[in-house]
Amino acid sequence: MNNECHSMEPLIYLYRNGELSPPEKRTILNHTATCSHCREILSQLHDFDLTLQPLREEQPLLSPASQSIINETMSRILHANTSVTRVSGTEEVIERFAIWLKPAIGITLTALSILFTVQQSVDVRKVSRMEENINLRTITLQRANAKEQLNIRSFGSERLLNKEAINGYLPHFEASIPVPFLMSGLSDLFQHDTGLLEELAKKYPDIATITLDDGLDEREKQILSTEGNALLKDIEQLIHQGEQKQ
Amino acid sequence: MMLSVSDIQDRKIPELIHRSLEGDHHAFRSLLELEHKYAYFLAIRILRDEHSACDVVQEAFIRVWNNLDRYKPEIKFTTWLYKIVVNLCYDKIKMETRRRKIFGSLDALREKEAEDIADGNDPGLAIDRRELCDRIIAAAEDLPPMERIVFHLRDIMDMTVSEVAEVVGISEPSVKANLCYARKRIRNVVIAMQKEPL
Repeated sequence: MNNECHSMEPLIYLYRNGELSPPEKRTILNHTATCSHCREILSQLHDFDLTLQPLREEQPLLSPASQSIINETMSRILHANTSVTRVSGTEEVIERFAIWLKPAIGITLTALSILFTVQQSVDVRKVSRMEENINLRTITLQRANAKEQLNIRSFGSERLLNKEAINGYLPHFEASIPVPFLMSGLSDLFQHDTGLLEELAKKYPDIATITLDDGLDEREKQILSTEGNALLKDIEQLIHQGEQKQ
Repeated sequence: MMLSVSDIQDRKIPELIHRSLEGDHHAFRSLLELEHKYAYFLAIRILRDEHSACDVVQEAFIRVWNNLDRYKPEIKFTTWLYKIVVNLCYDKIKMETRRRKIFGSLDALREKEAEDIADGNDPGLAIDRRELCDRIIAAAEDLPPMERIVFHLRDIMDMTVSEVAEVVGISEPSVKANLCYARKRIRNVVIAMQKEPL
């Protein structure tokens, strides 16, 4: 089989009527006139064609088993209760849309629920952390207050209520601790009735106007240097009186 | 003018389809009675198995019933029906071919051997026509799915190349290419069988 035979092969196998164009038929005829190999192939193919001819003329016959095709098919159709009612074009579009819409809605709702739950848990954690921080700060503040109260008591019991001690003591106060703390500290220190403090407050009204939040301005320093000094002296006297009575 | 059976059928079919679309089961049964033999004939030729052919025909008509609203009257009903039958046969053959590939890997080797033997052909060997027919059909069963279907539609059912292209859903050049390969394989196998020692 030479190269020309190889190129002819696709045409040789399309030997039946209507498969080749007239020019292609002429090409094959010309080639097979001189090539015995391809002529033999063509001859065998024609032989096969003749052999198959009776099959083409056979009328379709059904065996007894295949007779039941009709009954079984109709039974399946009726059993399935398939409706032939055709929907309108719009309804069909809506139906097709609905087919994927339902799962899409389901998935979206599920995703939103998950996101909500996650966000809630994140918020809860944030809130609890904030609460913890607040509690910690409150405790710290309370401890600081208690410590300061302790300092004042010990400070007072050692009779270190002099000008320098108070000036040295003042920085112990945090800037946020207001004057009422000083008054309550003095109350504890002297264990007097509120009458004494009221008298002292009346006697030294300017001291009550001093605030420690923003430090001491010139006016406040002036008040402390005058009324404050006087208050110290009064307290010294009271302490001295109290010792003598004992 | 005497009408042929096919003429009568051609006139009745559109009416039966129209009534079936309105839900008339009796009309559909009549349609089934008219056309099922040809569908079965096609399926049995391709599949060579009665049980498989019955399954295919049943399934084909179920699909016709379910998709009757998509049938276009400009196409011949038998062409549409054959399309469905051929597609179902194709699926069955593919499954069968896959199963064979799993359990038997000698097909390619046998094919090569058959080709080698056929190339050294001996025109002198005679063979009984009936036996030759059986051998051709047997050889066709080993063809790849598409070649097998194209061969049966063209060489057994005697459809034209354009009808085969319409039913199978491929181009006419593709039909011719598949025919060429199918006939070559069958020839090689048949010639090799003829030369087998007794």
